[in-house]
Amino acid sequence: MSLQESSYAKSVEKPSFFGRIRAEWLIIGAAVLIVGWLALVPLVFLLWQSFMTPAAGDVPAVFTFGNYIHALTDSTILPLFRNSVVFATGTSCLALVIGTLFAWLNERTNTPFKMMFYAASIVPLVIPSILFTVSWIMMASPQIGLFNLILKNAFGLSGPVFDIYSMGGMIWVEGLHYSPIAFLLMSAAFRSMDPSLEESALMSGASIGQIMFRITLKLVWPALIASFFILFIRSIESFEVPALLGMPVGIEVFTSAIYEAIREYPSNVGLASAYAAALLLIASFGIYFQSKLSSQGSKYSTVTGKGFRPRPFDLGPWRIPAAILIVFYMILVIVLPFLVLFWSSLNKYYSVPSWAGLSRLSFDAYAKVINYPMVGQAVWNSALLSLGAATTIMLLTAVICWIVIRTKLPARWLLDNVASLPMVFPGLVLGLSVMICYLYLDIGIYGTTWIIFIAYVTRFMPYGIRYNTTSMLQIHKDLEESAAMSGASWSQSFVRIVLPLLKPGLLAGWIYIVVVSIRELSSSVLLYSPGSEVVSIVIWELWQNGQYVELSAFGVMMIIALFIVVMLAQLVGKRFGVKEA
Amino acid sequence: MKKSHILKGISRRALAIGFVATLAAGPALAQSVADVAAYSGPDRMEKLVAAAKKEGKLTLYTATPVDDVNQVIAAFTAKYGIQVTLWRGSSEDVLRRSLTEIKAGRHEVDVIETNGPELEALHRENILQAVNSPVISEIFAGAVPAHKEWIGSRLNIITASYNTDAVKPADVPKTWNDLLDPKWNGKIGIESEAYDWLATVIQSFPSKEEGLAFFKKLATTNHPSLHKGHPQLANMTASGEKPLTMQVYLYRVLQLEKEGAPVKALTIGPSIARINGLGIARTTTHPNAAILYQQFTLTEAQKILASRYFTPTNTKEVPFPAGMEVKVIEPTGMLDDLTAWRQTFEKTFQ
Repeated sequence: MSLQESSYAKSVEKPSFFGRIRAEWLIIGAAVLIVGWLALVPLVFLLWQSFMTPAAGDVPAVFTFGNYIHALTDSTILPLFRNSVVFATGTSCLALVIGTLFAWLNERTNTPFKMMFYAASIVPLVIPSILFTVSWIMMASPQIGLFNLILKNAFGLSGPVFDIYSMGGMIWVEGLHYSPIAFLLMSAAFRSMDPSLEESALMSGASIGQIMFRITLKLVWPALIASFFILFIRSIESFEVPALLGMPVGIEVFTSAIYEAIREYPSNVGLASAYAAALLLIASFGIYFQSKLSSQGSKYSTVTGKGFRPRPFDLGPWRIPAAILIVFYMILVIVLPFLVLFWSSLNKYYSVPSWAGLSRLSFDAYAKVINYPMVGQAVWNSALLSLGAATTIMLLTAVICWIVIRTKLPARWLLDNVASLPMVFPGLVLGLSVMICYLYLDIGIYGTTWIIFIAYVTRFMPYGIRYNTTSMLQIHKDLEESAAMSGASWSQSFVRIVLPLLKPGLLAGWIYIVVVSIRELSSSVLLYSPGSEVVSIVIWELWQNGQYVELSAFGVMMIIALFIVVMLAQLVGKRFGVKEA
Repeated sequence: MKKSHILKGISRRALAIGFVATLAAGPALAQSVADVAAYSGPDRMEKLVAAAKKEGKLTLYTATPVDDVNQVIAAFTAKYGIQVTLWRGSSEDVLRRSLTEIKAGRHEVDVIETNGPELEALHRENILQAVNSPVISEIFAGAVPAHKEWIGSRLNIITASYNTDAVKPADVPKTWNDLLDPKWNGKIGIESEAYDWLATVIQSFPSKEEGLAFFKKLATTNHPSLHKGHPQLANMTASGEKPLTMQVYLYRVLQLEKEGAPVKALTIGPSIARINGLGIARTTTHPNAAILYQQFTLTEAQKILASRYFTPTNTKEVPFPAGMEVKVIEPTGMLDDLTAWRQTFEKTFQ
C-alpha cells in the first residue's frame, strides 16, 4: 500500500474529518460525472450510428453491420490510410523536433529574446490553417511562389526549386503549423525540471549533447510521448493542408473518405462513424501506452520537496548560434507568413507580392471587416467561449488527472481513456451528437451559446488531460503527503500545492485551448444560432465567398489580438505559482 | 444605463404579455400553412401582407452569402416592417440543421433557402409546403419543380475563366478541342468536386461516352490539377497560378474583374447553372410572413440579386443576358446519382 493511499485511508477513519472528506469526494465525484457525461454523449452516438443505415424520407434507419464491412473491405481506403499515416508521421516528427528544440532553448538555456519568443511561437497556431497554407502557396508554389521566382531570377534556373504541392510540402506546412503544440507541451515539461541532474552531469564532464540526450530528454519522456500522440492524431484529422496541397497532385487522405460519406444524401453518418471507430482503436492504444508511463510511479518526478529551483543552463559561446537559429525560425515561420498575409490584406484581390502590386494597396479590407455583419457579436462570443472553455477544461481535467495519477482506484485507466476519446471524433460527428442530444433532452440550452460551450469543453478536454498529465507526472507526491501530514484537507492541498506546481502545464494547456477553440469550425457550424455566432463562422463565410483579402485582414487582426492575450497570460502566470530563479 | 435596463425589462414584459395574448387569440386567427399557401383569390396579396405584418417576424436558414442576403432582408424589412432572423451555413448544413431540428419537433425555421439538390432532399423528407404562387408563371421554366415545394430564385452560373496577363488574346481557347493543345499542359485548374458540372456539361456532347472520352483525353494530355472550392479556383486564376480554370462562379469573376484583377470569364459550350431557391417549412409558425418573403425574393429582390452579379430566375423582372445558353443542373438527378458521378469524375481526372 502506498503512502499516499494510507494517508488518505487514515483520514477516512477519523470521524472528525467526516465533513471535509465528504466535500472532497463531492468535487471528485462531480468532476468524474461531468467528464463522463460529456465524453459518453458523442461516444454512444458514434457507436450507435456506426451500426445504423442512413435514414431518408420514409425509409427509417435500421441496424446493420454493413458500415464496418464497407469500411474494412473497401480497397480504395487503404492507399488513403497509408497517405494519412505517412503524412501524420512526418508532420509529428517535424513538429516534435522543432517544438522540442525551441522549447529547450527557451526554457532551459540563457538564449536571448526569451519572453518575446514564447508569445511569438504561438503565432503559427493562431493563423487559421487555410491562411497559413495559402501564404505558403504564395511563397513556394512552383508557378507563382516568391521563393521560386527569386531563386529563378537570381540563378537563372529553368525550373522551380520548391514544390509545395507534394507530400514533402504538406508535411513541411503542417509540421510548422503544429510545432507550437509540441513547443507548449515541452516548454511546460522543461520548466518543471530539476536542473541538479543536468548540473551534476556537467560537473562530471558531459557535453551539452550528452546531457540533452541522456538526461534532459529522458526526464521529459512522458511529455515527448504525449506531444507525439497529440500531433499524430491532429494531423490524421487535418483537412485543410491535404485539401489545398495534396489534392491538386492526387494525394488523398483518410479524412476525405469520412467527409464524402457525410456529404452524400442521405448523409451516411454511419459509415463515417465506422471509419472514426477505427481511429478510436488506434487512439485507445496510444492512451493505454501513456497510462503505462503514469503507473511507473515517481520515475519522472522532478518537482520534489528538496529546494526546487529551476535555473537556466548557460550555453556559453553557443548563445550566438542559438540566437541565429531562433531568428531564422522566427523569420521563416512567423514573420514571412505574417507579411504575406499582411500584403494580401492590403490588396484588392488574391495576388502574390510584387512591385507592380504596390500601387494597389489600401486599408479598405480592414474597414470592411470591422463593419461586416455579425463580426462584433462573433468576436465577443468567441472571447467568452474560448476563455471559459479553457479555464473550465484545465481545472476539470486537473482533478481527473489527479485521480488517474495519484489514486489507486480500479477503473482510473478507463477514466483517462474515456476523457481522451473525443480527440478522435470527427468534429462534424461530435457536433451532430451534441446537437441531437440537446434537441431531445430539452433543458433549454439548444440554440444558446451554452451548447457551443459544451461542444468545446468536450472536444478539447483531451488536450487538458494530456497537458495536465505530463505536468502532474513531474510533481512528486511527497509534497502533497507533507501537506496532508500537516493537517491540510484535500481541497487545501489541491488548491495550494497541486495547482500552483501544475502551473506550467496549466498555462500551456490553457493557451492552447484558447487558441484552438477560437478556430473550431466543424462542430460550431452546426451548433451556432442567430445571436451566438463565433469567429470561425466569420472566417468560414469569408473563405466560402472567396473574400480572401478580407479574410487576411481578419487574420492579421486576430494574430495581433491573440499575441497580446498570450503575453498577458504569461505576465499573469508569473505572478502566480512557484517563483522562478 | 439604468434607464435602458428598465426599458428593456418593460419591453420584455410587454412582449411576454403580447405572446400570451397571441396564444389566447390563437385559435381564432390561426390559419394553417396549407390554407395560406393554397389561397389564390384576387385579394391574395393584401391578405398576405396584412397577416404577415401581424406575425411580425420570421426565421430564415440560408446558404446565400451573408453580404448578399442581408441586402434582400434590409429591403424586405424596410418595406413591410417584418423582422428576419438569419442563420447561414453551407447548403449541406442548411439541409442538416433544418431536417434535424424539425424531426426533433423544434419548429424554428420558417423559410429554407439553399441549393437545388438539398431542397429536393427536403422535399423527399416531407419538410416543405407547396405554394401556389402567381409568380411561378414569370420564373424561368427550369427553376420550378413540378411539386412546387420550392422555387428557384437565382442561378449560380459556372463558367470557365482565364488570366488576361498569362493568356494572350490570340491563345484564348474557343472550342473544347482547343483545350487539347499541349501548350495548356499543367496550366488548367479544375474544381475538385464539380461532379454536377461534369454530369451536365456532358449532355452537350453527342453522347455521354464521347464526352467522357474527351475529358479523359484532356486529363492525360494536359494534366489539369484539382482544387477545392470554386471561389479559391477563381482566386487562383486572378493570381495567375492557374491561367485557365474550368469551373468558377460567374458572379465571382465579374466581381474580381470589377476590382481590377486580370481575369475574364470564358464560355466554351453551354453555361452550366446551379439553382438556388427557397421553400416554406410545413411546420412554420409564421406562414404569411414566410410566403411573403418567398414572394419578395422572387419579385422585387431579383434586381438586388442582379446588382450582386447573380443571375435571377424571374425573367420578367430581369431578362437573361442575350444569347446566353443556360443548362441547369438537374437537382433530382444529382441527389440520386451523386456518388456515381463522383466516381466517374474521379476516374476521369485522377
